[in-house]
Amino acid sequence: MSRTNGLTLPVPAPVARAAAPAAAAPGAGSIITLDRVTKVYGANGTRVHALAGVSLSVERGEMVAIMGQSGCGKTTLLNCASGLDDVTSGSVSIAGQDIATLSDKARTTFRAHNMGFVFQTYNLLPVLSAVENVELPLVVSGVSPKEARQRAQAALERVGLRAQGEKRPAQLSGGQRQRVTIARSLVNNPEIVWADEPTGALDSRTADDIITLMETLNEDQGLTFVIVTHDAAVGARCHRIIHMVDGAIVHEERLR
Amino acid sequence: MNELFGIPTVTIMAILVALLGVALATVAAIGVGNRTMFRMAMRNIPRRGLQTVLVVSGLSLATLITTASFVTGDTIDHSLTRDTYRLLGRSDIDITWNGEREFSSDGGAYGDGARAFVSDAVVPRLEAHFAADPDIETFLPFLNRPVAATDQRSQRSTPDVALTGVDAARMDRAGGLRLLSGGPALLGSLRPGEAYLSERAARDLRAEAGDTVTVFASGTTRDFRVAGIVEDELASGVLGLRYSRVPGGLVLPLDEARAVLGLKGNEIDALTVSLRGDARSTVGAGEAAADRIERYLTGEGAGLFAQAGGLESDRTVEVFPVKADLVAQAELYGNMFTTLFLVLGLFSMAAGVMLIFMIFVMLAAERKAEMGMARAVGAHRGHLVQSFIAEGVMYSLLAGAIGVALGAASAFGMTRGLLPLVGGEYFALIEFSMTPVSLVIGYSLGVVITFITVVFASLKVSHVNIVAAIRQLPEESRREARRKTRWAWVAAGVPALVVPPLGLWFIARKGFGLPWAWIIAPSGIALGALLILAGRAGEVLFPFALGMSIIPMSVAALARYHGVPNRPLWTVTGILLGTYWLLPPGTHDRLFGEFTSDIEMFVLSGIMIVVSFTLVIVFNARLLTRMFSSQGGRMRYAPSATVGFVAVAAGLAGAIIGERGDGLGQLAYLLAGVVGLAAVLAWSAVRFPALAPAMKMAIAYPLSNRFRTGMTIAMFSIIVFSLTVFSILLANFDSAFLGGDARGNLDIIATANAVEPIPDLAGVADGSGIAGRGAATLPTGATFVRETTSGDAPMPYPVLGADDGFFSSLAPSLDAFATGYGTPAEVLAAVRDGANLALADNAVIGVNYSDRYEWTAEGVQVDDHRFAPFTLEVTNAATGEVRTVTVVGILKATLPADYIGGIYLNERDYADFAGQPVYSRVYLRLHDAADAETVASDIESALATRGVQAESVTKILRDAGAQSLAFNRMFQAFMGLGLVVGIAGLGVIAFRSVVERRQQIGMLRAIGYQRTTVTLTFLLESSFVAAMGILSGIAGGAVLARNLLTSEAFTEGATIQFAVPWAELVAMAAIAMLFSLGMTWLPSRGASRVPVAEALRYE
Repeated sequence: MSRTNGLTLPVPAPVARAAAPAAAAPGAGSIITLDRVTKVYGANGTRVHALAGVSLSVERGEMVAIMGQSGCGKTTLLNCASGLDDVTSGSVSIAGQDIATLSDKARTTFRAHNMGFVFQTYNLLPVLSAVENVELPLVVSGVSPKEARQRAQAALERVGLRAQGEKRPAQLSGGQRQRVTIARSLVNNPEIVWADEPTGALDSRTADDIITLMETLNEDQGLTFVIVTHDAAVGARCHRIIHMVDGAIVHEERLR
Repeated sequence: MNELFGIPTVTIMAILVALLGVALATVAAIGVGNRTMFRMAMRNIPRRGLQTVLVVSGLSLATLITTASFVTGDTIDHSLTRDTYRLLGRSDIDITWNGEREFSSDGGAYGDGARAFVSDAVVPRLEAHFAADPDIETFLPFLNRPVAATDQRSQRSTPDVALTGVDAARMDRAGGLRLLSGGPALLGSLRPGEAYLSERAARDLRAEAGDTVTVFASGTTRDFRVAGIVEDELASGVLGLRYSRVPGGLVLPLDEARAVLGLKGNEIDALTVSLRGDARSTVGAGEAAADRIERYLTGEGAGLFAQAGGLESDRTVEVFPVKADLVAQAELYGNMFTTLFLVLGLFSMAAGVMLIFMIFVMLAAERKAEMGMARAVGAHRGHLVQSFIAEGVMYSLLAGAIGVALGAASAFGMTRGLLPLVGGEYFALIEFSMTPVSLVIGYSLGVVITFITVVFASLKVSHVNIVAAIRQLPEESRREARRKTRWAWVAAGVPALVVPPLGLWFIARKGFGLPWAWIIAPSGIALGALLILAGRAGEVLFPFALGMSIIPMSVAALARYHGVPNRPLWTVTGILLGTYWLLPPGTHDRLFGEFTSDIEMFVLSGIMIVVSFTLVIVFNARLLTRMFSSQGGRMRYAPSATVGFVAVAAGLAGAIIGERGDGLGQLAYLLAGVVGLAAVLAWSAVRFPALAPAMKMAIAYPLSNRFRTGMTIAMFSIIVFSLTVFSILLANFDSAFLGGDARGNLDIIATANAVEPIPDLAGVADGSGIAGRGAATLPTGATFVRETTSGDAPMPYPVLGADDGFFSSLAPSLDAFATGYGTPAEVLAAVRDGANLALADNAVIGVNYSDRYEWTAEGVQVDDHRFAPFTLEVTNAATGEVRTVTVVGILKATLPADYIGGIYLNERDYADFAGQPVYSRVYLRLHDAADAETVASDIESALATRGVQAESVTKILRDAGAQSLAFNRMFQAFMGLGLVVGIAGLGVIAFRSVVERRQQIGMLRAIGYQRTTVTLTFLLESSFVAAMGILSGIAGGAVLARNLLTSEAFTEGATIQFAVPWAELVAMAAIAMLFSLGMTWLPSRGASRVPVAEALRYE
């Protein structure tokens, strides 16, 4: 199995974790590189150019916000960069690995071992308890049930929800659900967390708590965050803001 | 078919069409009154094409079953009616002095008394009297006697051909016989020495027109040239419907027939009447004409047959409108099939109703947000109901049309495919037919059932909490409080009590605002108590058992309302129900007294057992998750090892119990199999951790929605239950009546002409292969029997003589023997050497069913193969001899009455009773039963010219079994249609689940679930539900079948060793499982291919 810049292609999860580097500060090298990425939806007469030759580089440990009006291509950019969606042209490299060339299976394994996701609508499974939701990425990676449970509880501890582990999502508030989602995104010790409007469904106070939590994780553990958001307050807490219009990056703003 | 359940089918059709009209009017009213909701409903239909196809398929199943029931009835009715017309030809009325002729019997028409001749002088007298009758055209006299015949060209012989003398002039006036090659076969055109051969006789003899056939009769032989092959019918000597075993006929003019039989010259032994019109148009006039003839013969012409015909004065002349009777009987059989199919189809329809309900629950779940939004902008709950009803009716109208087509196709497949395939020649008379009335009833009934289900489902699913629906949050279940009293409704409810449920609803719910639990539970308890009392009073099990089931469920509903936790409450309820319904009948009788019951109990017991099992499974399924979700470590194999240990223990218990314990050993094996399967799965979950993610989700989803899971499990379970019970009962009855034991130590039966002794077989068959030989006489048709302890009149039953070899060399097995004897051998020796002792075939005590004789010894109680000797009065009508004999042994051989039926006396007693015996039949026992067919064939070849017919007993049993097997397979196939419901249901649910969980699938894929894992998740989820349904159905069915088979009330004294047809059950379970997996494969695969980014944004 190949190893590239601290990220792993399909290897047993414990090995990958053991080999993962400690927290890194921004500027420790690009972890995400997009080169002239285009994404076209539809066919023939109804083609929509969602991304128009986007090039972007995100450094390890950086916290980047992608902002723009609705329909500008923010979520598409996140989906293509994280390997959730295919690109039409261009290349996406995560820690030197061109994920566009990976098979679906390899890309899925890559995601399972190296990435975490936070969504606006939480996307927690209603039939599982909070701790069961959190341990899912570990279960799928073949971690033993006992270890998965311990690590899930630890992840919930990190987001302040250890006591709520046995509750179902429906029994939690919106902020708590988003914390569970963050715990789930952290449980496999990823280097990158992709967040799509993580505060979109929350009130301003809860949103502030959530972004603070992300900030802490970024600072303490060197996690790289790519956050799609409408919220200027969220953007203001990031290292850099990328502004998009009509599928293209029109402006970058470095805050820290 | 003109009637069903005693109601004219046209009336049934009118009622159903009216109900269908109500459904359509409801939709029309919605369309006119609320166009927006109607449009919403209509636009929902084409939203998802493939799912619409599945929904329509699911809804079509009720129509499929009703239509298949009616069309099968039509086909049976039409086929039997058609064959009746063929059989009777121009004969409409039967005038008989030899007892009523049962043309529809498997054994064909036979008089139930000693056959007597009358002079044909009666015919012109009758013709003269009825010359002016508007309906009666002519009287047709016949002479019919069995003879042996050989075709000289083919050298084939038969011991039994009906030599039939026909009045040529009268027959030809009525249209004559019909040549197979087409056109009439006129008897007047026959030259001396010529005869017509019926199709059946020609087939037996392999004869063709122009052949010479030698007839053996009255100790002489006569050759006839075959002038033509004519269609089988009464007038050509074939006295039974196409499926009967009656021999073919050889037709001669009356005078020539008399000469062959050595008669005086004016004898006839049958007389029929031909009415004016063609064969079919005369049916309506038959009954009235028969009445007129009967009135004449009991009035003015009372002495005609005695005076002009020379008939003994104590004989009664009877008149039967035989054609009208047979046509009515055909309709009755058609009705029987329709009724039976509808009753058996209730299982499938119950499953179908659950499926329809579930489809709507899932449709509602998918549209929850839309519904919430609609409610938020002002739509009432009633509007949502209207929308669902409109959509549902549209689905069901379309589904009804498909169901009718599929139902007709299923009926065609069963009657024209399955029956002839399994039952062979017996079902050659089946011709597919369907009537418009049946199709309309099938369609309307199916659509109405669907409509009613849709209305209830719509009422249930339209309950939404607006906020929860819009935000896609789970509904909170809150305890319903009593609302304030509205006196107007109370006042309105009092007169409405004319319709009790309506009045109660107005008063209790609308008026006093009581929560449903406080309305349903007390009503249920009161209804249950009433049913119990009614059942006890009438000693009818159905209301009693229903009441016993309703009460605990009602109490549980009330307890639940008052906060008793679900799991213990419903588990206990399920166990109570299961215990009651699986009580052995003897225990039930001891506890609650004796009741009468019928087939409806099969349906009710199925539903209740399935409900009980489903409750226990659904509320305890979390235990299963423990088995499949090991926490790792050294003890990770502990759950599977524990379960495995239980399986081994159950297997050992089965082995130890073995054949004892009335089948408990078999049930222990079944338990071992089920638990063993669970152990293997639990072990696999630990051994192959890659399965863990899929298994986790596959169990989590079904457990999170108990209603849906319970309905699906119940749907599968009820069908598998019915198939299991049916399979086990059939297998056990087949084994008892058609298996190796049924041969009763007999291997070959060789029969010669009734009036000729059978030749010595010693030089014919390989003597070294024969282990035992015994000879017996054939029935004379003149013997009558009655129990001396009963006051009944003597009834026809064969009294036969048997030689010493029958009792000593052949030594047939005995099914039971009299107390006071130590062994069967003692019994046989006693009958052989004693005086006035007898053996009887086992139809006498009801162990076998006689397809020929009605008489049985009602008073005999058999207990553990022993009975108190019973005495019979036997009468020889030909000689007037009456004797009393004591039956001390019952033969084991379970053969048709033609081969074994009779009371067997030793040679001396028989000689005293009926004169010197003529042994025309020989029974052989071989050293190796496997040689039977070869030896039988050798005997037939060697004695072909003597008209000897030899058959292997195994073949006789197989042939006899083929017919019942074919019917049984048809019933199984019909019940199996229910499996289609279950499998389609799983498919629908899987498709719906994929849509419902699209976003969650996207998330799972995002966090690392591979496509294969997603596919596996859905497949395992379906497997879990299907497996629970299949296993609970098999378990419940097996226990109930065991209870039935070990109950004397059910087996009527027959000793049946309970055995589980493992291969059949495993095959059924495997097929159900495979098709379920196949059905969910497509949606599961679709789920895995959902584009991740798209799924995450799906709403």
